[in-house]
Amino acid sequence: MNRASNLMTRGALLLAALLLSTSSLAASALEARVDGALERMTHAEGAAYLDAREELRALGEAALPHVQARFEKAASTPTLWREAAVLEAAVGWLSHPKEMSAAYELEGVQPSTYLHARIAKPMAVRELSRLGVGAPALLEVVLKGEAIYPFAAATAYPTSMPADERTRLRALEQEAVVAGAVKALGGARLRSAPSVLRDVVRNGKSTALRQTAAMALGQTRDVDAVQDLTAIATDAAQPLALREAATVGLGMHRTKASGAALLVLARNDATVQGAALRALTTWASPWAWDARGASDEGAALRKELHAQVAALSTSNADATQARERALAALSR
Amino acid sequence: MVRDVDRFGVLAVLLGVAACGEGVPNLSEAASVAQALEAPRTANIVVDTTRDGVIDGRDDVDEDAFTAERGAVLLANVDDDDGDGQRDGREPSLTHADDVLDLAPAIVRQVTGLKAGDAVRVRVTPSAAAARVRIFQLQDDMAKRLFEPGDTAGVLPVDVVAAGDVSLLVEGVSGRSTEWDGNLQLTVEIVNGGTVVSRDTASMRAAPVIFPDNLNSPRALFVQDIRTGQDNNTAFLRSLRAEMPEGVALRTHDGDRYDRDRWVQDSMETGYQLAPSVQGTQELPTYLLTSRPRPLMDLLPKELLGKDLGYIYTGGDDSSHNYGGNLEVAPPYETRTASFPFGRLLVGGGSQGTLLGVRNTEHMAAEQLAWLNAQDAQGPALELSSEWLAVGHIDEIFQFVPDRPSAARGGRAFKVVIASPQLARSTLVAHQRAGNGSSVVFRSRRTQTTVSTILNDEDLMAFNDLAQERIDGVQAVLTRALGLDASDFLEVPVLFEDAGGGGLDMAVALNPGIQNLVTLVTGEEGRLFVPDPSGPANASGRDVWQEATRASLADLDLDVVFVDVFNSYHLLLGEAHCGTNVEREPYAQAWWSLQ
Repeated sequence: MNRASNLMTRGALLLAALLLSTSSLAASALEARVDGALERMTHAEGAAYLDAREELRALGEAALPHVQARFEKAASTPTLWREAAVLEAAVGWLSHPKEMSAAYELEGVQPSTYLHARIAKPMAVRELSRLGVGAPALLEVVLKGEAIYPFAAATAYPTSMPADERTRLRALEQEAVVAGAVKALGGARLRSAPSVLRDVVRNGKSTALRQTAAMALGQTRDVDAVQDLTAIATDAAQPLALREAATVGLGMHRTKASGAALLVLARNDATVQGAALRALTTWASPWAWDARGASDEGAALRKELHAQVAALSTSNADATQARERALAALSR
Repeated sequence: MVRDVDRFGVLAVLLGVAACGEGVPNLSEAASVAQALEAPRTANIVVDTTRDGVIDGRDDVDEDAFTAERGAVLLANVDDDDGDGQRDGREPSLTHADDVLDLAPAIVRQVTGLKAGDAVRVRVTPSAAAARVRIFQLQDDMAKRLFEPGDTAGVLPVDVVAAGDVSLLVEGVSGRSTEWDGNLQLTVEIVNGGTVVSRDTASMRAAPVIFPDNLNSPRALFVQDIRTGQDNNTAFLRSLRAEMPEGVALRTHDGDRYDRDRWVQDSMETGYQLAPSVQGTQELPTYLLTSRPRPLMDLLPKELLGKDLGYIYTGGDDSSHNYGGNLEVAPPYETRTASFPFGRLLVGGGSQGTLLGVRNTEHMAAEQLAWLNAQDAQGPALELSSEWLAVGHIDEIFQFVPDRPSAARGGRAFKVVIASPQLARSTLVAHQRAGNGSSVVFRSRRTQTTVSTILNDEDLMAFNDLAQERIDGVQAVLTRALGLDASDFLEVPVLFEDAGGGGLDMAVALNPGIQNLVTLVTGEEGRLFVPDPSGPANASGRDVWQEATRASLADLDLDVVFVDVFNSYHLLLGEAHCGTNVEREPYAQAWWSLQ
């Protein structure tokens, strides 16, 4: 290598280093802005959350790798479940903005729609269950609540409607959106869903919402859900409705472990015996096992449980009836 | 000879018009004959005991008991002959000539030999009847109020009774109810001081309101006309107009006038009262206004109420279990232990909870259900599990349809078209196995999906497995109660999905509920307007769910017309039956003949 070419090579290396340095600076600046937006999204509520989310979205797809990386890291750290959920939603906004937006355009909570329905109540579950790749929006709706949902303007109600009726309907719309998101989360197959649902089961603001979350938690088929739901079902300090909803969740979980848990509940806990036996009917559904592509496994597990349920003694008429139904389902 | 006094004659007297032809009353002649027949100071009241629409000497026998053969009938005067927006029975006076036709005539025979201190009074017993009856006395071409609801007695002027027969008109202010079984004793007494000198009693009974079933010939179909918006029902109306059987009136009402409330099935249940008349029977179409505080609650009292169309309102809470879609009538049937010649009322409700096993209890409002049973004609109503449905109506599960070929063979005259998740699923499974898993279901609709997406959805399939189990339970109850067997049920493919609801998992139809069809079968034409299920297409381009439906209904020998209700009704939680209502002919048999 002669001197001239040596100089040229050194120059190219310097230039490359300079460019790399500039690029790194730019990347770290982007990451800093992303981190800032994510930090605010994690802690902010209502309009402030929406502002932070818009800030993140404005950064465009370039922000996605960093957000994705942060999500992967947070998702593997149980204590960071809340941050992980926000990050999963953020990934959704950066990768599928149109589908995510659909979560905020629900026909079923528009007065102009639901007031014409056969029962004039807002409903959101069906639409929220059909979000597809926009499902991560459910996480933020559950975490941030109704404050981030763009409900219809007051002018959307009939002018003749009394103010107190509008207020009542608005409350129902809010309830429908949040409860609908909780319920839809159960079937959304999102990594953060079990953690978010666990939180709602524990801290939800109404028993009905906690019930919905318990059922949805079972529906996630998360491995740890069996233990969580069993704990709730056996906790005498919890409302009976919630304990029974936990058994329903176990029925929807539909694994060997959840079947065994239901059997134990039916055997040992008279309070939830009937509910546990009813849940076994759900658990046993051959159509569901077929849909999972596990027909043979389902058949084997049903056979196994059938003998044990048949040997159970029941504590009341409700449980006896539930046992008959469960046995019929398990024998299919 | 005693001249007949029929209702038209009474009308002529009431209004002082010159009636012509036979049947015009001549009270003075009647009175003179009566005078010759009655002993002095003898009370005698005569009603249309023979149920031929006239009052004559034959009525004055065995008049104190109401039996299958004898006893006068009273209608609840709940129509609005003068068109003032008020039900006539709620008005204290007769305001229109036609109103008289809805009242039952009675005659107090002339009393001779009355003494000083004698009084002639008319009483109504029991007190439950007295609280619901008004009596007019016809005098000098006028109808005077003689007895008001709640009165103890009405006093007839002695000079009038002494001068001749006195014509009365008995008005049912309201009909049978939980407080009153419709039985009524009309008594005339001659009293002096505290002593009853003479007394005579005649029995009457208020007509029940009877609800026809889907086998009865249709007269008119009600539907709202909603022309704008993505949920307009233009396509549905177009099909109805094009395929309406001859002789059936299509009665549309402006949807905008009722804030686009389209659920005309829910706001009312069409029925009738029947009384004897000179022509044979007199029908007063009488609908039940259901407890449903929505815009269409005004349709019946403000638009349909009129001459010869009345209504009853029982009150109740605002549960959707009160709506008309949750009240169906099984066609007449008989089992070893029971007979229901006017069919049987079926309602939805129950305590079995949701499909996934959450506790939930729902019933029709006690007031409304009790009133239905108090009609004592089509009850007791049979409750079938519908508490697992978001709307909660039995028309989301089944409908009765005529089976004329079977009837012609001497077999059962009806079939039950019942929703079947099993059939819906098996049809899709067959389609998938034929390599069509990616076939589109609900093409171009907001809920568009594919065959495989449906079949691979574990939660959806479990939900439908449970729905099928619940429907099987409904079928079992119907089978036992109506004496049916499996061949009496025609399954049509319907899937359900979970619509949530306050910690519950309430079900709604995923595809348009095919069983929620409209049955219009006249003497000549038989047509079923069936919700188009919008299923996947087979190799020939035919909808596999439609094909399964046609196969299921084939033996009925009825035209199957698929109607588009997807955006206009289905997405709003209802289908074709929910969006329509049908007034039908009464049963051929008169209710009093089966007392």
